[in-house]
Amino acid sequence: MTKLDRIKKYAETLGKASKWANSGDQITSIESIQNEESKSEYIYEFYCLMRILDDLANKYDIEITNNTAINVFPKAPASKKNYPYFLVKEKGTGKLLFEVCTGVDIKGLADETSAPDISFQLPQDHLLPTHQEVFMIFDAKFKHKLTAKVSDLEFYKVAGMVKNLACEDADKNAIMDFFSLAKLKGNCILTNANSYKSNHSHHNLFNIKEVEKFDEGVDFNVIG
Amino acid sequence: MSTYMINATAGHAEIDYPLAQTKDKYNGVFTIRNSKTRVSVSYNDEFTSIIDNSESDYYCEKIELLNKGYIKSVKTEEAKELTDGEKKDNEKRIKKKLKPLKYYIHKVHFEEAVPFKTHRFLDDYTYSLLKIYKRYVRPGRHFGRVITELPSVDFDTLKEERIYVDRTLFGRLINSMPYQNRLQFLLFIIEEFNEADLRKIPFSQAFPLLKDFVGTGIVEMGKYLIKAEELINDNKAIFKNNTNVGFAYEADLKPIVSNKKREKKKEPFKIDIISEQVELFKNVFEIDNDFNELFSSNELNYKKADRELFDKTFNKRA
Repeated sequence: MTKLDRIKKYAETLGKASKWANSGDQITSIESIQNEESKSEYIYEFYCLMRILDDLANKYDIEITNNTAINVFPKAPASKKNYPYFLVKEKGTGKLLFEVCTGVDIKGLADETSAPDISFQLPQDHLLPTHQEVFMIFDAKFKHKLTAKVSDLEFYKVAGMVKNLACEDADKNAIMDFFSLAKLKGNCILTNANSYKSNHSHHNLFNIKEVEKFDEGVDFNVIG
Repeated sequence: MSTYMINATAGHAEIDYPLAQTKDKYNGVFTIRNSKTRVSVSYNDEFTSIIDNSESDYYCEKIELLNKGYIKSVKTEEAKELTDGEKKDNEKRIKKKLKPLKYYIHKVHFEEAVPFKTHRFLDDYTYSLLKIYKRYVRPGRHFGRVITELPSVDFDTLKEERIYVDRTLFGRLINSMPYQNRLQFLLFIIEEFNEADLRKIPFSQAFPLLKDFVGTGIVEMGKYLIKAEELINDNKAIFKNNTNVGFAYEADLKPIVSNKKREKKKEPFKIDIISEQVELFKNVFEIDNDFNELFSSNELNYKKADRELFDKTFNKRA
């Protein structure tokens, strides 16, 4: 194939891959460079979730629950009752220790709802989580430019969620440990790009860690 | 002297030429049958011809550039016998109280014709001809008539077998994206260059942004999906050995019914499955793993003079 032919074939196959085969939705929604918030971040969020579960599986027995014949995860924040989540149990004994959930609505202290991308919750027998069940939250921020930084808006939005869900002491009170992701213990912003600030004191003040370069083939760095 | 594209597909301008002699310059004849008393080509006009060899209508990859040459002479004769189709048409005309048509056979003799050597398919020139200004997926649509007049710049492009590489790379990529992404990219460009007239933005400046857009937007997502699938397969126990994983909006969640039931109800299935998409992305990466390398115009033997000529031609339209 000549290079021009290869380019043509590449564009054709890329075109097919750029839309979801069933729904026809575009795989990615890229906002303008001024507004870096990407609407459909669920693919990066799911990647982050899998990395966390993969790590936790070294220490715990994990089991999916509330699922159906297909394990369907949300494309946007949703109700916990409609999507699967993960039960994390003590290795060998089956004792339920905590839950890992995807982007579900959680009722906060003043009755307002927050939907962090990943939440760590206490075992519960209902599907309407509140701040009382949530002990730690993660939020994923995908940036199209690797030189980009988490914005101030994004950072303080997560700070607002932490306050709303009363999980300020996540790093101290979390009833779990990671395996090789030990530095992530606490409320985290996960991004493939760069952190909002490199000021550890600032981040401690807001009870948030920023994990920059959380991506494939690179080492991540934690601030806070 | 004018320049034309002649459609030599069956049913248009039937071509006759000595098949054995197609290496060097050769002579031949086009036969055109219609109800017009004359055709637009005449002595000394130059032409290129296309032929659609496929059975389906204008599947662009199959439209070949057959040859290029000079018109020697045109002889027109009235058709003595009408075809069945023509007779039927005339019967209809008479019923409508219109005059029946006469039909003519035009023999267009050509000489010094040579075949196309380097770029033999019409589709190769999709982004290099002024005449093709829309419907880039079906460039043949612009040459549906038996004879189409070509702007002389387009004729030169075909005669010299020149490709506007910058626009081709750009066009192929941008037209492969879903509609919403195309729109987003256009807004992106307008914002970046603070210029609403896109034709004023040179390709060389816009192209890196497009590469970036496609790379980080689409290609990167493919890599995350592939990696996520790997992690799912590494941790089958977590999923109770059911590694069928997907995404959907809350509104699109329907009780998972069997295939048969779903087909009966004709429900659109809006749950997107990771493994299916991973297969599509693997097809992409099989063709090329280094997106940046593929779309650099380095190895394309692109003459600077050609690029300048094309830039000038296409920018004149603005």
